[in-house]
Amino acid sequence: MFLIMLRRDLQIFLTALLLSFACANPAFAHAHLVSSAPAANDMAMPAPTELRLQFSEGIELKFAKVTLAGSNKKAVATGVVKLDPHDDKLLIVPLAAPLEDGKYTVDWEVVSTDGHKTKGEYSFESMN
Amino acid sequence: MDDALVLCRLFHYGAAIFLFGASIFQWWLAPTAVARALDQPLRWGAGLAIPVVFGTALAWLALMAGGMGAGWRDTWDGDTIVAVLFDTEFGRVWQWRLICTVFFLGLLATGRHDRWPLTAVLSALLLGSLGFVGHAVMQEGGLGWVSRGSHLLHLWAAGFWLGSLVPLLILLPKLSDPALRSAAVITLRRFSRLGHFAVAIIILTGIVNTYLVLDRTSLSRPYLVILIVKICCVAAMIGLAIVNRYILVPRLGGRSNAFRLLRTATLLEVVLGIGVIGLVSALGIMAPM
Repeated sequence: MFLIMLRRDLQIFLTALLLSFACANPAFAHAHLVSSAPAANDMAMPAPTELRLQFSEGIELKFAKVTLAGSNKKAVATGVVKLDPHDDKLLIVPLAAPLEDGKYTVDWEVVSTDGHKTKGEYSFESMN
Repeated sequence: MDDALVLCRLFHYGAAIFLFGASIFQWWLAPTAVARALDQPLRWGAGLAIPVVFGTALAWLALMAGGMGAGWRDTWDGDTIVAVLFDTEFGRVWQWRLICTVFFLGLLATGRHDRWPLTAVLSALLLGSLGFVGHAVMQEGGLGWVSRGSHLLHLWAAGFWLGSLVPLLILLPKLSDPALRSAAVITLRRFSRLGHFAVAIIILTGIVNTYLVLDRTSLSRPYLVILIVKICCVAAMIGLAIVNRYILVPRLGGRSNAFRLLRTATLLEVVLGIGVIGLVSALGIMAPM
């Protein structure tokens, strides 16, 4: 049995060896911002009542931070960040009060479900 | 901090793989005579590996807390660690892994770490559950479970192969011991049989994983380079295994220097294997894209 298997095994091995060059480890992304509402560099009209950030990967809500700053760099109060109940890649930030006209910058920092942190920022303009 | 995590992963993987491979070897492969001969050194190795597995599991958690939180100061911040442990995908898996390592410590404390079936089950849980954290969980839905399952098998197969190279290396000199020779040959034969399956599973699950990766966008260059180096190392290991099994082992009976070459080749396999674990440790914290 041991020896009979020899030639066939060797064949399987050599085929497998070739294939293994094409093999890869599991490799997926850390979370990147795919899109947002209001969109980056967009003019939001009417003024938004919430920010929606769509990521490429699932997000750990506990470690998600989103801050909103006005043109004077002053932080704008936001509600508690939450995940869309049907999509763990979509962060929703309710706004405490309607935005005044002006330019805003969103700073985000998230941890994807694979445990890695990514961050970024974008800005948009708001007009009522 | 990333460097610390890579090092931590290297030691954790290494210790878990040794525990898994050595215990399966003693439990499934070694006939009584061989198992008795190997018990002493492997027991000693397990006694070393268990505290390493426990310590690096804790350190890994602390470093993840630092990475998810605000850097080094969060690595020992109670609130952050609790948040990681109870509110993240990583933490939910880690709770169970920590419980496993505590059981391991219990085995060690009561001197029962050479109950190889127990050690095998615990280390299988520890090793396999690594397929439930990190990049492996980035697929959603059904594909996510295919990815986790494929990882689980990949880790077990690779863990068995790499881990049992250590007892194999200890066993080889005993081939010249007339009292052990026949039992040692039986062990080699069983190792070869199971090894074929292991390598086949490693390659198959590797292909499944590739398929899942190719499903997504292109990989970043540094990630790709390390990945290719890793695949080449594995290919070299498989090459060595083929030479060992089909060229050197059949010549062991003769007067050739096959025996010396077999030891050297196996040692080289172990070195390559450690290299592969190192590369995997680095890949796990890199952004693939």
